[in-house]
Amino acid sequence: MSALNDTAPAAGLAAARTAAARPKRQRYFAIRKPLAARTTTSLSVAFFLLILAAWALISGTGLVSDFFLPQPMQVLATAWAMYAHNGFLWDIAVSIYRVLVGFCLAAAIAVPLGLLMGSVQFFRSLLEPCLAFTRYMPATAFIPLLVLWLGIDDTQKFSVIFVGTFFTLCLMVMVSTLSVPIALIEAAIMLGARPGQLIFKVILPAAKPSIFNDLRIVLGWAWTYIVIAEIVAASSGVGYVILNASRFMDTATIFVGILSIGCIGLISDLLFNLGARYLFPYLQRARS
Amino acid sequence: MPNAIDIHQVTKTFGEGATMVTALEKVSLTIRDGEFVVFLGPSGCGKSTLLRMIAGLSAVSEGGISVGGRPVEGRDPSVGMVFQSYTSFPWLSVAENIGFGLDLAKAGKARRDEKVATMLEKVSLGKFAGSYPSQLSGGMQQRVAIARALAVDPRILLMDEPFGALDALTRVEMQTLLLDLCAEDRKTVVFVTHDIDEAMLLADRIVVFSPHPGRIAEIIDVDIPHPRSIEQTEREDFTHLRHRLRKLLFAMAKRAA
Repeated sequence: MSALNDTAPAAGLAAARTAAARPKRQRYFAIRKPLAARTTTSLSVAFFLLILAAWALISGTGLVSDFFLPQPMQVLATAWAMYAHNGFLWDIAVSIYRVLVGFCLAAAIAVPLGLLMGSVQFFRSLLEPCLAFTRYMPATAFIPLLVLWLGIDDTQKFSVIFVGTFFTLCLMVMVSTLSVPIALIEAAIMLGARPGQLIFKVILPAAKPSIFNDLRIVLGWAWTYIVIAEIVAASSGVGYVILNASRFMDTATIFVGILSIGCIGLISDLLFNLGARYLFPYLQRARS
Repeated sequence: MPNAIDIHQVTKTFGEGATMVTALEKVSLTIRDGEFVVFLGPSGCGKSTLLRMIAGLSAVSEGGISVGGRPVEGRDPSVGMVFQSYTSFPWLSVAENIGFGLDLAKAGKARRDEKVATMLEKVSLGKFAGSYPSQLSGGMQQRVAIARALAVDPRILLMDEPFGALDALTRVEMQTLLLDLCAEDRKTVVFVTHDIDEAMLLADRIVVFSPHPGRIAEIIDVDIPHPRSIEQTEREDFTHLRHRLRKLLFAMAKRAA
């Protein structure tokens, strides 16, 4: 009996030691287990590098002609030339300006309207079917019509962005508004909130973080629409530069244009995240 | 003085035609001013539905309810409510949550701050005045909810299973707090629960509901003098009452099965 008592803990200890020394595979691929911050960063960077390496390998070995796939260094050189000498920054600025005007116009109407639809069933019944229908009409199909109506100046660019983002944004804001718990609204009613106060002091602040996220997501789509609008008819902007480059079969310039938009997207996400941290401090603390 | 709450022949149905469900059928009850009444019953007995109709959050299908002699039409300023789910506004601090009702009524900063300070002390949350609700435990969140409801001085406090989501120890702590608050300032309280011990500890009168459709099965006076404490629930009279209530509720469960 005593012998058993002596050996059992020892065996248990040994088993525990093996568990601690379990292969890394299990540590890295465990389901819904967080990884250390350093590991996460390393993984993210590693994948970027992996893609870059694959790209360099494929284009460098001549497997694919650099007419179709330019080499990374070629793209880098082109980027330098475009940013430093060819005024590409101006084209980016023009595109950003067009995106922002179109998007802000859409948001200025879509956010209040979505809020109203998510708060008052009357407006939801009135508008939702029509918006859902319009949403499925591709914004790109409106471009010829918009050119016909508005010509090819900036108004046409704004309107393409507007058509591309407004309807969906409206519905997304409505859904975000609807997800405000009814108990929160009823609690406010029992504290004496009138309908206007309910919307502005309860529903709007409660839905704000997810409306903010809706804006972040939809702004990304606006970049797709601006490039299409500029490809169709423009004399400046990132889309115009890409179209021009394709006329001269200048794939490196096309790459720079596309990658630049990717970077702008990353920066805008970063700004939104910083904004959220500043606007919604109570969410940060909840996470920690 | 009129009765705090008069419930006269109230019926509540949900849905229409073949799918119509009767949640409550011809329920009548009078609640006196300053009384602590507990609605006790299994789920589906309509106790919360009745509470929501007293609050004015839901309309009666038939019959009538009046509060302080006035028929209920929407929210009445003399009625406050605490919900089962946590309803603190996450973007406001604890102090701002408690002052929310006073701000809505444009009470003025000085009066609000004074009232908020008083309420913070009453529910022992002084140290957490500047915290956000997400930083609080469930028990603390319900303290905020109680303080927020009481800050606008309602005559009647409706509580819909407010401690249902709390662990057993915190629940007793909250029940004791509620007894203390009531001892300080006598309010009419209607408290919904399915917890027998909770009902016995708190109630002047227990209204037992039976389900399908919701009806009042029995009304039991709890003749145990205040101030009460959790220790008293071990006493013989409590044990008898507990036994009786259990039998009542289990009989209902058997019939429903």
